[in-house]
Amino acid sequence: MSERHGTDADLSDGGVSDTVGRLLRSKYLRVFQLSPALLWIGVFLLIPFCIIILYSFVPEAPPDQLTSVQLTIQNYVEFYNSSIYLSILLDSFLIAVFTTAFTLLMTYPAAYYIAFTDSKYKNLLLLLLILPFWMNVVIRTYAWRQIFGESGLVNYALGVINAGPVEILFTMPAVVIGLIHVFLPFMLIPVYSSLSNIDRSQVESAKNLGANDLRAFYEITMPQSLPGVSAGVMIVFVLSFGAFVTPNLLGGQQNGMIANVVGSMFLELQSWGVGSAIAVVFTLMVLLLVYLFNRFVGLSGLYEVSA
Amino acid sequence: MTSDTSDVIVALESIVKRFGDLTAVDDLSVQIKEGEFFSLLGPSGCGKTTTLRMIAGFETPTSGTVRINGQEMNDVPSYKRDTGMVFQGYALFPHKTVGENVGFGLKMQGVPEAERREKVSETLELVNLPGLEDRSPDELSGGQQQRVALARALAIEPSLLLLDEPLSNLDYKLRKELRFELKRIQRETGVTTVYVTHNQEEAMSLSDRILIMNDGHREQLGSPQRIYNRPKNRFIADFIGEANLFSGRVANRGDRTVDVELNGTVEERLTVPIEGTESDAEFEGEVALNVRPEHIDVTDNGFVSGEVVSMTYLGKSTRLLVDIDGKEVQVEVPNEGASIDEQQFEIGSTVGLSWDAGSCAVVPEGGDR
Repeated sequence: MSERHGTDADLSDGGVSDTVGRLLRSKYLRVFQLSPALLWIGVFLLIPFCIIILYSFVPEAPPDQLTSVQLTIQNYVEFYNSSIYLSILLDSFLIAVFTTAFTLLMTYPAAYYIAFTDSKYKNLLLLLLILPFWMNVVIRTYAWRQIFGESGLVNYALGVINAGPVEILFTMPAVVIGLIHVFLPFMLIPVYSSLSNIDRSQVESAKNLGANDLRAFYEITMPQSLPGVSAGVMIVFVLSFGAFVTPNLLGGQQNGMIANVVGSMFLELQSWGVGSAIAVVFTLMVLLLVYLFNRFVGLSGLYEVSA
Repeated sequence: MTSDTSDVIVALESIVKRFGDLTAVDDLSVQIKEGEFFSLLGPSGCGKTTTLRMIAGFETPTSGTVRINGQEMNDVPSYKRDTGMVFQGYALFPHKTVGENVGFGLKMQGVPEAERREKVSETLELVNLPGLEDRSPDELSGGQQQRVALARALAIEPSLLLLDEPLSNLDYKLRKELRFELKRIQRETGVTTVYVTHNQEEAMSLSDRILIMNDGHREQLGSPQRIYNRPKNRFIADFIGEANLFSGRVANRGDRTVDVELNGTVEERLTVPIEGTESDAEFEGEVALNVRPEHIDVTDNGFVSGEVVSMTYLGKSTRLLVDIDGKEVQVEVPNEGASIDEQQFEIGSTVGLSWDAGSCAVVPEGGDR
């Protein structure tokens, strides 16, 4: 003890356990914790995306050699001049808006009921509503074609009452109906979780203080469900805007969405440059919309685990 | 006393509440008077919270009538009942400021904002939280949140304040502090208060009257002193404070006294005071005699003796557990005048005990009600 000098340096100059402790507290550990996910995103998202950006600026994609590439905005001009691409982009936007709105309208009451019910079937109900998650989307969507097709279930039923037939398959409503089905769980879960976080005695307290059911909902329940709603809206909107499988199977040639156009550019038309340009424009548009949404509505519900 | 109904705020008339097969409240009748601090006390699951929730309007009685200010309330929704309730978990609105929380009831009443603001700041002052209007409830400590919840219930000046275990989420010291605070606020506002608790110490220190409930029915109703000193049965004697129950039998019934012969170990005949109002049947045959630990004296010439089994030093007193032929008796001996450094007693030593018959209570045996 007498040999100790009693400085701060002394205290930190410990044994092996001190070294380990310092390592655990150091900023390097945080880098280790983050790196697998960052690496994954970097390699499989950022790098491909850079390649797509590059392709969108070259006349002949993929370029033969990278050394003497001539940059051009020709692909963007072609996209801009083609009214068909622009109108598909606009249609895709509208499909995403409709899908998001209808999904919200359909899931909110269901989420509300499940969040506040005392029923012993509560978990079962929740499970039933997120069931779509667990079945392959291609198989499900093919099944829709049996319902909407020319001689499908809907037209058969209409035939029985001497109405119809109507054309549903390969129309925009068919795409919206299909997308609602696919993305419903993505709305239900955040809305349900923000509703179920609300202490029910808060609602009772509001009623005790003179609020009727409607006012209690407006003052207490609804505002506290908004983080979940905005999270659900954002997720469903972004996913349905860029949907590929559902519009491909239910929209057909005439009513595909923007992702289908990009797909056919690469796969069928061999026009990688224009396809890349459309992909870049689409991505920028999504980022802009997310930015605006975040700016004016707020996305805190997406990041905050507990409301 | 009970026939005068002019100052009755709440009247429960034979209310029953069943949840499926479970009877939470079983044929309960009670009247709560203007300005009093009334406690519903009992172990968890005794139906006290259900009773409070029926007064607030969150539950509807299966049968019977709830009256507030003479009006039948069974079909009146909670938002039209003019009660202010404080919930166990406070139930503050986390997305609203403290000021908005406290002013919520006034807003629902359509009170204009300027007037509301004034009333809010007044009420926050009453609960000792002046100037906290713009804070978020999350930023407050548990004790402060509790005060905000109280202020929110009081801001509408309800004819009835309902408190559902409001202190149970707080630590011991804070709980004691807020207990005095609650009493002060209740006195200042004069609001009729119904307080639900399982904590007998809280009920005793706060209440004008206590209703002890067990298994959905009424065990005893009375002042804290009455309940402590004249428990009606073994359950109450045990539940309120600490009890030493000796079994015995009534030898002779006087006008205001009974002579009790203690069985077995303590062979003594005591003349114990009783109320004149109780029915004769309760004081015949087998009874129990309750003696509180602080009423037992340790003396050389006690009429019973036993061995000290354990000893706990409590500061102002020492708690002894004395074994009298297999029956353990709790004794609390004041430390006043005792030696500062030395123990008064030793474990294993034999001590004599005695008590004054006047401080005993006869507890009817048999019928639990």
